[in-house]
Amino acid sequence: MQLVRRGEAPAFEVVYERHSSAAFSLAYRMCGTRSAAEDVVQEAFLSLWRSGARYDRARGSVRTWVLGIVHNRAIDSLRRSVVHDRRRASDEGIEERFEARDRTDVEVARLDEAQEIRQALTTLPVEQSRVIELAYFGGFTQTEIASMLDTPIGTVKGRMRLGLEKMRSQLGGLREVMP
Amino acid sequence: MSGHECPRIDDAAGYVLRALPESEWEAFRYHLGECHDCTEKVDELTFVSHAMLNAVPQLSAPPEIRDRVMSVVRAESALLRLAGAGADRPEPAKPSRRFGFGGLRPLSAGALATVLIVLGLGAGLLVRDDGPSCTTRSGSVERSVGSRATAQLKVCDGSARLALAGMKAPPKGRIYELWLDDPSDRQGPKAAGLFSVRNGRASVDVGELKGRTTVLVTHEPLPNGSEVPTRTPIVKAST
Repeated sequence: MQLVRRGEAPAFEVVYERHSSAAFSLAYRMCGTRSAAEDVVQEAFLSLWRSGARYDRARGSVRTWVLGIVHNRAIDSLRRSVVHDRRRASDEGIEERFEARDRTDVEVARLDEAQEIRQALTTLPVEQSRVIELAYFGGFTQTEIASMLDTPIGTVKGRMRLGLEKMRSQLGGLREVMP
Repeated sequence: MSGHECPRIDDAAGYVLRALPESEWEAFRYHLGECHDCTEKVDELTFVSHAMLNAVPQLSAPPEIRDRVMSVVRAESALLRLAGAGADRPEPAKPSRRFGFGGLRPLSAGALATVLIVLGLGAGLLVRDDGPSCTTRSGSVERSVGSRATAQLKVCDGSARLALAGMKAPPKGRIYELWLDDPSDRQGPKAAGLFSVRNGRASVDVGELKGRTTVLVTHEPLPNGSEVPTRTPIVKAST
């Protein structure tokens, strides 16, 4: 990252190669269309390139930093869009066309980790997992979720907190896969 | 918070999931600076939100994104090298000698910017003398590229360097382009190179002026800019 900070394009290319698929996967999961996901990934990586100095190793891995920016950009994109429940009508077959093929040991470890996280999410009571997914992957605010589910906002907040706390305890042994 | 939980602690989950409306999110972030309970809860739940970043089915990124991103990155990296290692570093603060619009009150800065743009700032504003053969003049900057953006043109022995600060990035798909102009030349401005800003700053080596008196900046299409300006200049600085 020091080389990226100094404006070295080859160093940035390494970062891109290492994390672009995860970035695209997250953006696609959130935006639901290839074109929107591409825009989000492009914006996020150019933002990373121009703000490399802001990476703080003490706050997590480069991957978490990259994906955090993609997540924020995707939420911005979703909130800008006029029709908020736009995804789901996803590009047909994209999962097959762009399914990741070669897997390194690190990627296999990440797949296991992803499976564990998804498992933790599915073991929550449905009303808790629903508010978490709507917020995290759908980009909806608590107010919007309360309105969609016709539920008091205090209940939505409580479910979100309880759900995350349960996941935290279930994932207690999980360690971030580096790099 | 001795004995009782902070009443705002339920917002910690909405904060880490970014599910609070923007104004509430900012307010809660401020609150974290003064609430140990909520800070502790955010730290605890952030672990989950970070883990969830990886919890999606993995796809390969389409190669077109890589091509688009890397073409911009390579262009900007090359420009950064041309502009010099210190091009994107903030200049040291000089509290006793503030130049340009940065030190003015908003209304005055806005009014001055408007006047400078309308009048074209024919001669610029001589702001300091940097030695026997150097002069630095402030230029005019259109407010749309940064409400506090500044431009300074330093000329030493016939060669110039343009220092910009407080600039926004150019619009998507465009890049800043430098032009040298001489009002008496009917052929119009001559292209003098592309450049990018990092952290709002750029220090652009204009090179020898060769009799030209005005430096202009426009934003032009990526990746190669234009041969003639296609937009109204957003920066204008004269010797």
